[in-house]
Amino acid sequence: MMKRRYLIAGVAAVMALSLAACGDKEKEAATAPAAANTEQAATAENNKQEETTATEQTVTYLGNDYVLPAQVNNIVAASLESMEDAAILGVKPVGVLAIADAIPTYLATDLEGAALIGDKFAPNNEAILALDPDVILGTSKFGEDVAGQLNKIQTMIPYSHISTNWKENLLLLGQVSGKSADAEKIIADYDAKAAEAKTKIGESLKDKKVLVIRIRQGSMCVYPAGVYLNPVIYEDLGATIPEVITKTEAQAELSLEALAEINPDYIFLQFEASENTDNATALDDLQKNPIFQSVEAAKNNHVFVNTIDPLAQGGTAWSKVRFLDAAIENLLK
Amino acid sequence: MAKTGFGRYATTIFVFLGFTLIAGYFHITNGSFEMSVMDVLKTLLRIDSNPKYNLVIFEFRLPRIVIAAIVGIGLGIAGTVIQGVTRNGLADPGILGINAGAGAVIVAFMFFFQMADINVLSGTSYSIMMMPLFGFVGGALAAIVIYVFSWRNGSLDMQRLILTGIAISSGFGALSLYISLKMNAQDFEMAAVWSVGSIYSANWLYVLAALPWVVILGIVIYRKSYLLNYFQLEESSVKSLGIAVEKEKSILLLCSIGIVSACVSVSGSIGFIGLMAPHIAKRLVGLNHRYVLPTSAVIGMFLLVISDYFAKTVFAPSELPVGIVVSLIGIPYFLYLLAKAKA
Repeated sequence: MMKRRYLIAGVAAVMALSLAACGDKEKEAATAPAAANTEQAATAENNKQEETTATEQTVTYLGNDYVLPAQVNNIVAASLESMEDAAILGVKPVGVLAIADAIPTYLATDLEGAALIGDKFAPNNEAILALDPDVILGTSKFGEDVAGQLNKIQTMIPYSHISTNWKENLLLLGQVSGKSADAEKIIADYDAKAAEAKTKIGESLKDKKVLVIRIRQGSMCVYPAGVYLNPVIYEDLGATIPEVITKTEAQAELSLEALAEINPDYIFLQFEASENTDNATALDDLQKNPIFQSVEAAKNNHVFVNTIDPLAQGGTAWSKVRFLDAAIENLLK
Repeated sequence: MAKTGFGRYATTIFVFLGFTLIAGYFHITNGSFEMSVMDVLKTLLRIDSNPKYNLVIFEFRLPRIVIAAIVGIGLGIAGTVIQGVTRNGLADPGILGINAGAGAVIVAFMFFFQMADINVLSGTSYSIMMMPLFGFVGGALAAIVIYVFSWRNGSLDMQRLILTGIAISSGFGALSLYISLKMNAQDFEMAAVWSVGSIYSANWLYVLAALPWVVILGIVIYRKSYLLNYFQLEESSVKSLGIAVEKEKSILLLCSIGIVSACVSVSGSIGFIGLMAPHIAKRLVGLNHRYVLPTSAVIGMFLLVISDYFAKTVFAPSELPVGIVVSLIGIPYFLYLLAKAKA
């Protein structure tokens, strides 16, 4: 009995001690990032005294201010959206997300040389810290906890995943990487091309139904007019928005019957194998399906498969520039 | 007999505490950020104050280990209680749907709280501290439903218990998925990660949110653990001993649901620890729940810390949710127990 008393007392003491230790560490750890910032700022000041007097810059993005080091050298792209923008702008991030333990193939040549920082669900804090980033371009999809951890490393800007913010995204990357002029040129070129195409084919599209369908987990998915590749078709090229799209709130599954009822004139199909691992033949099955073959688009050979890389996020400059070309080319057929 | 029993118990506890320390050592000295063992030690002992090392050790690695330990202890205790009360060796908070119930209500809470958050910019800590409370409501709801459906002729029907549990589990699982889809339709993958259980984004606030629940309710359960021995007898015999069976059972169950809810709110749903830990504990220290309960807690702690170490390192820099690692070990063990129970 005595023995047990001692044991219990001992365990209690150990627990109390470890608790006290935790409390201390917490306090000190809380002050650590602040110390890190001042130290970093101090070294930056020493190095670049003659170039600039300011050690920090404030970047305004979608109504929020973010404080970054004056000289941004190391950019970590912790979202597919920012990776696509980096690729089109010719920016070399030091760290990028991995898909299946490699840089996503469609961006591999543009982002060559970047270190991997884990997958998009769980970016690896330690790997990012090891790259000594000056800014982390995350995503507005991150939860509070992930965002909080990343912000302890360096300012994390939540890169918008909403397609209609693509210009702000690109301009932000241009600003932090010192390529604002390039970013503006890409946007101006795109707008000019879209406007020209709209006058050329916009009128003929007024009474045509165009759908962008993404095959995920074996089923056809459609998105609202402002999401994925849709703004290119409906906003930039001025095609009429079908009823099914206005009704969609987020990602919605489309049945074959519903598709037959809509009877679209043009279909852009995006099929990515890694999003359909359980249904590898979904694309072939769909195209062989008699109901699918009976819609106007299939009858007239107006079904276009993977006109841009199926992993493309859709709402970025990279996706939009490529998809605009593909759309113009195919819709004139 | 009692003496040797205690000797075995003390040895087992210390051996597993030792194992946990070793697992913790591997966990804290390994990671994607390159640090030598000396650097880790220096940072821990506050000799060297490199801010980056501090960040890695105190913000990324330590909270993870501490959370893994707390959740492991919690699940080990809860598993022992639930197996003891239901007199079923295959019961586990995850299998019975208590995890899923707590999870569904927590997701619902997050959904409504975030809606409110758009108007009122309130502190994050508040919402994280509230989560275990809401989880408790969901866990209790699941437990009540399971109880009602498996109650037959004044006692729990064991087969019905497991079957109802599985049904409840998938029902609440579907509900959480539905709510998370509503919440952020762009990214339901995040919800999927959460539902298999991950402690990758652990921080000290989570520790603060979960620790009081596990410590306080753990002590309450430990004080009542002798009752679990009596519950192994026929119900009528227990009653004739003068024990208020239903009342005590309810207290024990509610306490373990509280612990499970706290764990689920910081780590998502991690199954099988609550199943494996009590079984291993019973093999090692016998059937006295006074011994089984702490042993199971320590084994649960060890299992989760070592699983999280594998989750972190095997596919580095990519992470594997720790719930998947636990399931990889747990499912074969569950099948083994099932096969043994049949024979």
